[in-house]
Amino acid sequence: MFHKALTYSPITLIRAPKIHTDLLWDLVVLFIALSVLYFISVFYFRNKLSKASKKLKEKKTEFSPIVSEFLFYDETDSKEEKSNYINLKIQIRELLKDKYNRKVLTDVLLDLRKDVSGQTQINLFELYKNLELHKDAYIKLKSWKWQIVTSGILELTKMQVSESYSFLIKFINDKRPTIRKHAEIAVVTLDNRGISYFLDTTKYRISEWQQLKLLDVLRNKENFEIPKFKLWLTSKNKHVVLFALRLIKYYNQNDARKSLIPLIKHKSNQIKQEAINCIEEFYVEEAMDTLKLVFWKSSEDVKMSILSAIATIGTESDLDFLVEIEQRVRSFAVRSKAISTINEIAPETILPSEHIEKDIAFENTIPDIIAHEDAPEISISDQLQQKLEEKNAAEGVEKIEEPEVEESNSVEIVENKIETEDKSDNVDDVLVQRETVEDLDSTWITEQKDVVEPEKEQGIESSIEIEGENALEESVDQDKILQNIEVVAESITQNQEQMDISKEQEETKEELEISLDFLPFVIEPQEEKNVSEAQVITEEENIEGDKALDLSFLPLVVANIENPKTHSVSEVPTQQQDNIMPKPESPIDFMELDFLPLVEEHKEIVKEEIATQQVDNLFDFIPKPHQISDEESEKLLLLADIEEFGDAREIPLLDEYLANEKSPFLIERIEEIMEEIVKRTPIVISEKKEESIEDSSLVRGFISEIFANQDVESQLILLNEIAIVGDEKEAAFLRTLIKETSEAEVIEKAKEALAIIKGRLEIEPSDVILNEESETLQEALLADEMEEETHPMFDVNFELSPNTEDVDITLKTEKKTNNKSSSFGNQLSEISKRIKDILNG
Amino acid sequence: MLNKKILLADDDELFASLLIFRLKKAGFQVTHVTDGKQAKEYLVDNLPDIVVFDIMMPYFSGIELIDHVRNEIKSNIPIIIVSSAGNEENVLNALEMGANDFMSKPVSPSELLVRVTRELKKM
Repeated sequence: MFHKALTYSPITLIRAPKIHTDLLWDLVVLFIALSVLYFISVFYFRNKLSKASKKLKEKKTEFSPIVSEFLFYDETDSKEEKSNYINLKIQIRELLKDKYNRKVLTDVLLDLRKDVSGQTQINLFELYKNLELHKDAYIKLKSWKWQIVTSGILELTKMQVSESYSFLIKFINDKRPTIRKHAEIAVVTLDNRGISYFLDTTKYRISEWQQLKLLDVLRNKENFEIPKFKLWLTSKNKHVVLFALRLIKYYNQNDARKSLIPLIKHKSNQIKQEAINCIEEFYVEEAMDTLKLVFWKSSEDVKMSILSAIATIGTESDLDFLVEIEQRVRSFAVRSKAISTINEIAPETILPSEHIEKDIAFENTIPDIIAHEDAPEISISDQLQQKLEEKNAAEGVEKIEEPEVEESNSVEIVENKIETEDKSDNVDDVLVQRETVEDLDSTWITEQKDVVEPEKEQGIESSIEIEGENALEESVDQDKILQNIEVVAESITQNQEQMDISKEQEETKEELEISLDFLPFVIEPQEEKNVSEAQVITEEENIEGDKALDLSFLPLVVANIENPKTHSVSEVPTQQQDNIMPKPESPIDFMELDFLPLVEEHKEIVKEEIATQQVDNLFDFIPKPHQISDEESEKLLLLADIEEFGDAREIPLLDEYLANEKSPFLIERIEEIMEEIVKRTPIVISEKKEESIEDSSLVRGFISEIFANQDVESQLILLNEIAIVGDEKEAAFLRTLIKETSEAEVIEKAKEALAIIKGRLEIEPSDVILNEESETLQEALLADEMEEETHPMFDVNFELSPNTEDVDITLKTEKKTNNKSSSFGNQLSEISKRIKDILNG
Repeated sequence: MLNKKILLADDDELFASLLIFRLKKAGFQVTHVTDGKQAKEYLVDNLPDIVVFDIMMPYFSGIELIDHVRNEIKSNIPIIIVSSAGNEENVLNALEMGANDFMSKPVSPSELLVRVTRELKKM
């Protein structure tokens, strides 16, 4: 209960106010009374309005036959109808004495006016005047209420009361816009002089809508002589000027040509634009200079109008101005309009250039064409100049060379200079550069593009086939031979590696020069050196004897430049007879064509034949291009890697390749690599040995780390294992351990292990023949243990192929050494694993 | 043309009275109705020589009345449409439904008289 009271204690503070019952009743009565009053008033006014409407309808029904009688009265009617007409006149005079009847009759006539036309309508207007209903409208004009004045003006206008013109003109400059606008329409409608008066006197703004309504009135006026609207081009009211310009354009009043030109400089953009439209409409060629003058300070809309006008009335002499606009104006719309204007004046001067693929994109599809460089992009001014030159040439006009530099306000001169750098270099090095385009006004830079040689962008791909091996004949001189070698197509797949190789080779072959024209090639005999590139020269060009040729465009470049001696393949003859014949005692020129397996296939043959054959046969040794499939290409790349980085461990892999390979030149290549590896094995082994010795400290550190992380029991087990497999590195570790550790058991065990290792190291191995330079005593011991004991702890998965039996004993030792060295880290990790296994049961 | 019966259906009584006056003066017997319903009711018992319809009327439009005359009564009496809704769509629709003529307001009563007379002569 207490809690409940606490819970609801705040609510108890809220109490409903005491309202007296009498007050409530009073309010109820009040609201009921107000409701009744509201409904009564609604009914009252509704009835009143309906009565008024009914009365109006009755009145209209009463007046309609009278009006009809008046409207269709004819002098030829019968006497009875005439007498009836006279009676109606008397009757209506009496009726019109009542103000309400006058109002109803006015409404009737206004309603009928919109439904009838022709003579009936004219009769209606006459009836309105005859009944002197327009006087009521005049009275309305005197009202201080703008809506009544407006209704009076409207009534007089609709009923064509031309006599009211003089009363209405004073409302043209009325302060109240509604009255003013109705007065303007009334003045223009009721009198032919109204438009002139209005344009002369109006001081206020003429809205667009009002202009349209006035124009509609003017269009529908009959027997109306249109005034010369150029008279109002001098008006101080700019709206009058604007309206006059539009009327001039609408009524084609082209006698206002001179008046239009100054208006181009008008402050108002609307007037400026309208004047330009008129100039365009009436072909006012005299305005061209003014148009150009005002262009730069005009708004974008006006600029567009000016360009439109120039497109209509401009000539080719204006093209420079348009080009300048295209280059200097930032607005996209104006620039586009300028371009379209140029093409309108001189059709197809500017051709589509945006989003157009360059020619090189299509040249690759043409096998017989080798594109050296892409055509430079032609600017608009260049296109224009070209077009004008063509036209002048067609017209027989002498070409007038323009000065190289023009002053401001002239068209920019865009110079395209294509520089070919180092023509004697490789084709890849041909650079096409485009000079920066500078604007003489130092304001705008229109174009600043470096034209990169498209071949470089696309990774330089082309293909080449050299044909013409049969073109060499014995009795043909060297030039003819060279000319008969035909270059059909080119295919260069050049990657970064090849480019690097080329650079290295360039350093060693400074005398090599490269011709940009690659057709027949001539190779001179040189001192033995690497030749990874072939030279190609044109048929027409005489080749100097000193020039060697760059054959880098030959297919499949898999270069290994580290050992040039092993890859020098073929001797290269030259053009000159003396140099062509190689001297047996002199060093033979070899081209480094290791990327051409087909050439290597004939390596030995080439060496023999070069010494014996004559000049005419030398070209037989020019390597045939060999079509290599993608798969073969990949294999060759792999073999190159093996050759470069591999050692004797790759022999089994190579054997496997050799067994599975069917391609003769790949077999040749594999055998060559195997031979190469075998030759350099001792060096590798010695290097490996040094590395292993250097790494001994690391191994020791590794053992120490493992050892330190174990408990005493594990350390003891580990020491047992070290005693079994350890050598002098472990001995050093054990000595350190004995000095540093505090555990007596560990020290004792370490001493035992050290003694075992020492005893084992003192044993001289006799059953293994080792290369004195390549093997140390410790390695031999370990190798012996590896072969004979085959301790399960050292289960190294390094399988040797049975095909390696024919490899000499040096290779065998190499394998053993590799097995040992490569598995030593694994052995250590295996030891720790085994210790853990033992501990884990 | 005397005593020719004309049915005039138009809700604009002022304009209708003007036309009635003009047509009566020309000797026609004119019956005026102010909506489509009255027009249909009149046509049940009477068949005028010519009808003049407005398009926009209460209950039934002038187009519906044309359809009623052509397809339900199956009468070939001349039908003239007089309407302020003289746009192309209404004109074509009325003529396709079977109207003989179409006049847009404002209309000259004298011109209407001529057209009515011409249509009656075609009969």
